[in-house]
Amino acid sequence: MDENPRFGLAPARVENLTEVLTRRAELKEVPSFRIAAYNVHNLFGAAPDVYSHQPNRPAPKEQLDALGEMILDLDADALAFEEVQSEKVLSDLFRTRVNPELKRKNDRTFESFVLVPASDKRGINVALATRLAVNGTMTFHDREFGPESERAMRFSRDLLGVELYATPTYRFLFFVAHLKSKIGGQAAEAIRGLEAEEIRTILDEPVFGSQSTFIAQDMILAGDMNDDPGTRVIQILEGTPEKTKLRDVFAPVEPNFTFPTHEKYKKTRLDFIFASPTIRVGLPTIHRSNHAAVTASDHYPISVTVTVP
Amino acid sequence: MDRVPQFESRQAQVESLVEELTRPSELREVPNFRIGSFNMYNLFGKPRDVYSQRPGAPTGKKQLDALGQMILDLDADAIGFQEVQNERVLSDLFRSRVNLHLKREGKRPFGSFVLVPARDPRGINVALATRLAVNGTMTFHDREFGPENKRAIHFSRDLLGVELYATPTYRFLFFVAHLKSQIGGKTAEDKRRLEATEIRSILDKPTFGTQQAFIEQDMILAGDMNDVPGSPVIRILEGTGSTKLSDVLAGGEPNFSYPTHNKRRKTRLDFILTSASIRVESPLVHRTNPSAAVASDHYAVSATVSVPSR
Repeated sequence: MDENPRFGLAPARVENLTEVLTRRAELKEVPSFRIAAYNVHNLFGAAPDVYSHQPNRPAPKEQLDALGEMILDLDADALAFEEVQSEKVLSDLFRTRVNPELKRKNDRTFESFVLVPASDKRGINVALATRLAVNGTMTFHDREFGPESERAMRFSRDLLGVELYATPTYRFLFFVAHLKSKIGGQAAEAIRGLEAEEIRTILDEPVFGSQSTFIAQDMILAGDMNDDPGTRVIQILEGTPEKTKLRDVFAPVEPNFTFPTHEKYKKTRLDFIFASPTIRVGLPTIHRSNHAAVTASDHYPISVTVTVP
Repeated sequence: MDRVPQFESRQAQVESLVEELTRPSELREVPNFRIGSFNMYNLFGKPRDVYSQRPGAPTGKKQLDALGQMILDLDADAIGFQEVQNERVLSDLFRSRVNLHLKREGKRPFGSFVLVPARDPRGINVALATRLAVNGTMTFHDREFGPENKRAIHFSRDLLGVELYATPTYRFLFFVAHLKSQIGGKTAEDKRRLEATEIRSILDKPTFGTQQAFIEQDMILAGDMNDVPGSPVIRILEGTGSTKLSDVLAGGEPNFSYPTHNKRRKTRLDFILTSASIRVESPLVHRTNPSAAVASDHYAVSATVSVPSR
């Protein structure tokens, strides 16, 4: 029941359940659409947040402006993000710097921002923004795993999975991950390896009573895997020979780097879009040419086109 | 990559992913276990929360103590909660008033607190606390629904679904809901009906590419449905035919779970609805504990789930 205060009879606030949103029946039939992944480097807001105790200072105006430009440059319908403090800071970014420009162009705006606060000590999370229709969200940050001889562990930044309708009938699964950082050497790599193995377990074994695995469906796994192509961690994610293979869509792209946008480290690729065998994905692009990229983040965003069967 | 600040190379905090948690293989083989549901009436904390900007005052010590007593009284392994501000206030309650008692008695403490912030204007959420093993969580608060000739709506307080392992091999689904309040008359009831219809749609139709609907599995739907047994909203939730959900608290007399005070007529707003395959018995409305009236305006409810012998 909804009464207050102290179990009394004063009327409670009446909820407004009505917003302008997207149902799958309202989507257009399209032959293809674009998806993207972007580590937005410490996208923190000013609002106090019980889920994020140790944030950096709020992202400055120049970074927010640059992020807005980069997001518009991506021209994607569903974007995976890493390093986002809260749903509010993400939705504020879109509502102030992305949606007004889309409205001016008479383009569809972003209204769904999916973020489940996890347990990362830096207070960063993975997230997804979309103008497609969200059918449901899965989160695995309460799942315990690791070798039985050692203490159980959890994903620090979650494995977030969102079921999206891109047209009134075409649905696919979009998973977002951000693996343990490279800082910490071998110990960090061991954790990254365990996180990668657990992601594969979730994709390879039926969950929620399903008789079909996620990897057998049209599915994307995107994010900052904090490791280079060809490394053990990436090989685990791609799948060993006896497992269903995930395709690294960016493998053939040259030059093949997404990090850093500055010149202080050797260029490499930490950002990935993996595709399951059934989903039709092409035109991989690393967005390096926009001058705003360097101000926006230390990572370049990546995007691909998904073809509707 | 993890470097701060402004893309510099200063050492970032190294995360500790290691906590005392539960994996399915660490659970004991048991013949049964108990589950509960409890509307805790505005369980708010002091820290400011970007997801809950308009909370009531922080819950007082007396109410927290009484809630701790009631949770211990439930003696359940997985509890669905309603009216919780955030995961922190729930885990603080357990760590300060529940787990210490359990450890003293040599019982397993609660280590998992599942709450996905939704968008209720009062800043209240549904949640689940458990000492079983969490395999994964589903949230539907970003799902848009409602009649096509009207503007789309969301669940205000989410439909939270958690897949739990109760033994190393027995798993079940535990959904928690808190439907639109009765305040608002016919308009509120219409919203409640839409929410109930959408819950049934989620339970009845395969989601996340599954070929087996949730309702065809061992499954619980528990919470404060803000409507009374036999009402149209509850009949929508129950459904009909082979996928009818069973209201396990239906047989009990007296059959009320609200309010704990005497200012209103007694009724039952709290439900544990079960799918056809799951074996649930010994339903209980926890009215006898003197802490109940201090803890909340709702009484807690619980039931025993039998683990199938395989």
